[in-house]
Amino acid sequence: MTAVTDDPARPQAKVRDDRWIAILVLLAIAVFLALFFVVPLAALLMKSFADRSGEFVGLKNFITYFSTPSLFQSLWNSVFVSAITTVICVTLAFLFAYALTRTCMKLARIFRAAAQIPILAPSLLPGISLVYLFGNQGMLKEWLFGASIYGPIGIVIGEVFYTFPHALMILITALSLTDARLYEAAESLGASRVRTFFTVTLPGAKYGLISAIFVVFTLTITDFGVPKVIGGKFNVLATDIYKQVIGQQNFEMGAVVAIVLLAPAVLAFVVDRLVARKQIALLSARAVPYAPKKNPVKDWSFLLYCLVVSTAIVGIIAMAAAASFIKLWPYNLTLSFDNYRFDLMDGGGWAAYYNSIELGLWVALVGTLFIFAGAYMVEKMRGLYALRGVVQFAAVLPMAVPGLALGLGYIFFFNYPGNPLGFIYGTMAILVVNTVAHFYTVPHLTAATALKQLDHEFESVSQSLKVPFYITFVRVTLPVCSPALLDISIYLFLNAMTTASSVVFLYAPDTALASIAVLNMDDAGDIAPAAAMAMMIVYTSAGLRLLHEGVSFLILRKAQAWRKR
Amino acid sequence: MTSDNSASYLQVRDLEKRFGEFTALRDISLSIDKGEFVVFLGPSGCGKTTLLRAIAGLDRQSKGSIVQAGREISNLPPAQRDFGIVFQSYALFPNLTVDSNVAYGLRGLDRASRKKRVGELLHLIGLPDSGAKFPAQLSGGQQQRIALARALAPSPGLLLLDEPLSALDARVRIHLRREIRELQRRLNVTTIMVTHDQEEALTMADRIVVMNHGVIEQIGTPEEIYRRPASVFVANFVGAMNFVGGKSSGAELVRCGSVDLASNEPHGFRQGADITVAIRPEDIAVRNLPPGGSNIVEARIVDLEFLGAFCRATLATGLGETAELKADFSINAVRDLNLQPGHSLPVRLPPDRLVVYPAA
Repeated sequence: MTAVTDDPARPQAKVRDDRWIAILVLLAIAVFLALFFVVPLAALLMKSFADRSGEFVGLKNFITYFSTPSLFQSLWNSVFVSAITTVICVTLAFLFAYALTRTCMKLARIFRAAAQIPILAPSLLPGISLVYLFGNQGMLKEWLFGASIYGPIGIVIGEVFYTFPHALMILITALSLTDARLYEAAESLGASRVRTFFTVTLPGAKYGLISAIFVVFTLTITDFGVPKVIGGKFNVLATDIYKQVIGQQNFEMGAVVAIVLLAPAVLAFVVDRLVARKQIALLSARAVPYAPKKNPVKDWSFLLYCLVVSTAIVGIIAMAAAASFIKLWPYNLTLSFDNYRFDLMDGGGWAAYYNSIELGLWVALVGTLFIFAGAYMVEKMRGLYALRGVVQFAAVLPMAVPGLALGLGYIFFFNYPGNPLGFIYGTMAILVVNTVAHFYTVPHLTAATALKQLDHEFESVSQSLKVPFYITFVRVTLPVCSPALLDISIYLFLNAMTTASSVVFLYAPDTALASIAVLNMDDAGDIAPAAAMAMMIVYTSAGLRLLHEGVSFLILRKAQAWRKR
Repeated sequence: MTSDNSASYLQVRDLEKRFGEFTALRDISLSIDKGEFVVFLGPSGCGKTTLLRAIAGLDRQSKGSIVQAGREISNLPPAQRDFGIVFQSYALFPNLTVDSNVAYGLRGLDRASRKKRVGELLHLIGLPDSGAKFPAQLSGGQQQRIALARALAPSPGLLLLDEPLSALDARVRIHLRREIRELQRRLNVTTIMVTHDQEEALTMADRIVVMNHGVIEQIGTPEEIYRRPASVFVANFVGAMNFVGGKSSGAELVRCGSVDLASNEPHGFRQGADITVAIRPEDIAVRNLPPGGSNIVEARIVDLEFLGAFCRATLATGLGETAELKADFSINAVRDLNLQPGHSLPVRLPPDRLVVYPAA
């Protein structure tokens, strides 16, 4: 045998070590999450241990907080309202999800669409709508038998509206993940319907229920829009932060309340993560999907139920829409566009609306690319364990942090004298990074899920073919993940449009946002224009949602060629 | 042929791979000749895929060196090594056509030569008309061949196959075995294949590297591996094997239970040492026994299992109280000798078929 002879001339693309790009991207994301998430929260924490002059005073602020009954009362109020909302919302959503997944009810698609509507609106909207429905001059005031809508009742109704689609989506997933063979087994063993429900259906949806309970509780306790509009004198943690900071300029106490608010949210987050880990193994690959059987009594009862719930949801939106077109409720009911002449009111005018669009576009564009690239590096790179681990861990944390706490942390960090990053304070840029950081988790998890479904040897193959990973990323990964990319960008845009929590501390006069304008106009008593601006957000979100559906349809049709035989 | 190291195409020396505390590969040394088809065989978790990935540079080794075609590649990234790889999952890019998939590694070529090369390869694998299709429109076996074409397109010096057939159904698998082997011979490309399927290894390999717990148990031709398994593990993993405990009773003699058995050559154990004797079921003879010959024992048929082409008998013998032997008898023998459960008969354990190991 001779030594290796010359190989035939073969194409040799220029070989470069492309690893540094991966390191650079991961570092960029680690730095981003550190600067725009971790450090601001640290600043918040430090502030809560300091007095007005910046001296460290240990737990003094917390002692003041817990010994001031008016402040401490809010904690109890928040927990109380959130608990009630959770019970009502999860029950309603469970029955709704059950109707959609386990019955042969007609019109299911319409009900499903109707239930998604609240996602399109800022949480200020249900508050405004409830004022029109049940307020002092409300249409349906008598329904409350003299009780006031301003307070816990209004907050609970508003929060149920606001959190319903979130709970519903989780529960639909949980109820879809079932194995028909379990029902066949139960039936063959002679179990009654009720017994089957309690021994098969409920345990199967257990993790989804737990997850929904924690999501609703966290959303409610950290929400600021509903209690701000309809809370009246009933104080909750979220409104307290706002009052301490904006009203009294008491930043230290604001920080303390934010930390107190952080506690239940973090707890809920930890439990939810633990549960999510367990749910994976629930369904084996051999499971047989459950197909509901016709049952007229059951199907029609659930149809009636879904009709009532959907009507309530649509009714709340319709009320706000109607209010926005009515000249002066309830004295002059003629229709007009007067309330849409935002430039005549305080709050930012039409500029605020355009700012929101601009913010949404930036957040969708930058956030989608950035978050997807980060998820790609975490999922697909080999080695770099430490860096990948850090990014992966940090990426799920933002979910646990209420927007108000994050926004307050931004004030402390970016407004700190001598911070070289201080120049972004008061610009559109800080709103963009804040919104991306605040909503980082869900897009990251969406991207990670999509990437996990790709063959993990794509990168090895391209390395063996001497093609740098970024070419494979552009030629294969991005096109294959386009539905996920679209979902992520729409998620980011909608949230940028509707959020009013974190950004409420960060906008400047020329960067006011539509949701902030709603807040400020409502504060100033211009409730009809507030409703109009809230509806502008809904129209925009809805239009975009439809566009999204259309584009998704086209992409899927184009991809049909390689997705299916 | 020289035994000079420079004659070998790929040399792996003292390779070690650790994942934290766990040692996945230890003391791995082997050398592969140009054009050879070598199979890494072992149970899952034995380190065979880890070794393959180290050779590819996809998972860098912790220690040791790899030399390919006279070039030290131990610390090169995969893109600077010279190999093509096919994975169990094929990893074809789903959104690219077969043409684009095969052309993926041909970036250095101009359009015309790229097209020509793709055409050649598709012809080579027998799918000349599938260029415009997407992977999902092809069967599993066809996808596997496209993956092979893609890996071969840049004419790599080394072809790595990571369990390439295990996702296919049995019939396609047997067909593709032969096809891959023929293609490999035709192109004379040095090839390493990883598999846990001993039949695949025996039928395809020039040489087999049997691995277990991160070390090499034996390297040899299929014949050597099957005839002279170097360890109890190899004997057990490749083919069926009977094991009987005993003691060494002479240079070429062992005693099992009440029976003395002769082995053909010195087994190298001192007198009285505990040993294990191994013999394959098909080597136990039942016909044409030499009268008065050695190694003939009396056996009683405990059970007879019909397996189509032959019968597998369970035999009780005097080799030991619990030592039941499995023996494969041809259907002819069963019929001619009227073998039935309960019958007793003499069987022979031919001395040249016995392998002696230290006691487990």
